[in-house]
Amino acid sequence: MSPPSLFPQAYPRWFLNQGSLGCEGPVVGYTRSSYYRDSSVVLAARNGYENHARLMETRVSGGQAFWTTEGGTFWLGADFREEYNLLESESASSRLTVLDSFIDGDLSAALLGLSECRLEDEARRFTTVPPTPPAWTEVMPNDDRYHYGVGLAPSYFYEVNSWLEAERMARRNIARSLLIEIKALEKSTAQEGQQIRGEEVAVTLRNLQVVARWRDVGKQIFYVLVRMPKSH
Amino acid sequence: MRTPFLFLFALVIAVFIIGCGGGAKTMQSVDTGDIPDWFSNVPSDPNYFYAPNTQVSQDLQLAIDKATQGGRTEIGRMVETKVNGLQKRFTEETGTADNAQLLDMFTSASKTIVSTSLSGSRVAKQKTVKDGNNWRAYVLVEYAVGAANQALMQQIKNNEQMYTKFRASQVYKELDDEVQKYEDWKKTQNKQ
Repeated sequence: MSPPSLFPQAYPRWFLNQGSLGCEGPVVGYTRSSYYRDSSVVLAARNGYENHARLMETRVSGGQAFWTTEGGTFWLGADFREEYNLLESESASSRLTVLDSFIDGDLSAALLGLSECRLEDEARRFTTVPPTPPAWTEVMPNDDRYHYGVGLAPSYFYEVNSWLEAERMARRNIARSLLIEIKALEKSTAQEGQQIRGEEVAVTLRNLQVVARWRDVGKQIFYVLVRMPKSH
Repeated sequence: MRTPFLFLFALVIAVFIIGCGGGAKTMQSVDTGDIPDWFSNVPSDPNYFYAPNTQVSQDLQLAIDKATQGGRTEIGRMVETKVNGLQKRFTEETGTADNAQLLDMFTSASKTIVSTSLSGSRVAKQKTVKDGNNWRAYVLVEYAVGAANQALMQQIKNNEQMYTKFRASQVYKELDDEVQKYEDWKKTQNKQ
């Protein structure tokens, strides 16, 4: 367990537990804070429209390879791509409205949803990030309705980049669990052994939902839990 | 008058020397965190293949990716062992050990499954800890045995000649039973 931080981080509940909102298809957009609050919210909303398009449909493709020797495992390179429908993100601006937003230091975030979506006061309340990690950070949820993926990211200079990367990694991990090609070539002699292994993925994800976020304040790791219905 | 200056100079030099020396950080003093229980005591379930793996990297995501891919490669190897067992029994039972063409077909069919694609493999558990200046990732990759059986059966069915020969064998009946059980299990899971 991480040591307790002297400066506990607080976020609105809708940010930490996005999956528990009653609304259909809420999405969070992030950006670096601007000098003017209005600009921050607009930029966060714009990122939210893009994130909405990514959640609706994203094609994850690419691969990476490693070389394992007795000296350790070395990264040979990676080339992953994400493709999503830009038209969807443009049309989202006419359907989604900003339900709430917050600015905390260099991070600005906006919650977008359908206009009929009612956000409870409880969901707007700021809450301190729980010091103990949620179960999903270590044990992947397993139910028969959804595929789950957890994404992690280290702390970058701008917090927004950490959250964006954690979301991207969660999407990639779901894609990997759906279908992955693994190729491994192993060579061993009496003196040494080595292995080259590669993975390739080409999967289209649909109707993704961000369920929860958590930040390990001690180790400075950002976690995002994403799921996708199994029927798709 | 010169003595205090000399003393101060010697003190500054001593502080520099001690400071530059650095602490002797042994492997034991590195914060490796707790090794998760599931890593040392790998779960055992006849319905799943489990592969634990751990890797280090200065990059957090690379540590996880290395470990996960290592686990998936290990799963592939486990599936291969199972398929090789089936192949051996099949050739013993049907007496096709000398039929090179049929064996080639079986081998290529099984290799397609074990070395190229895993559908439904998931990281069931993961933990990341700081290991000196590196990140250490522990992962437990899980793969349903039924999914592997189903993929193998599909590959066999895709080849008519092999399917005709194979379906008369006891091994086929066992594999078919296992696939049927997996299908039933999936149906019950979906109803819940």
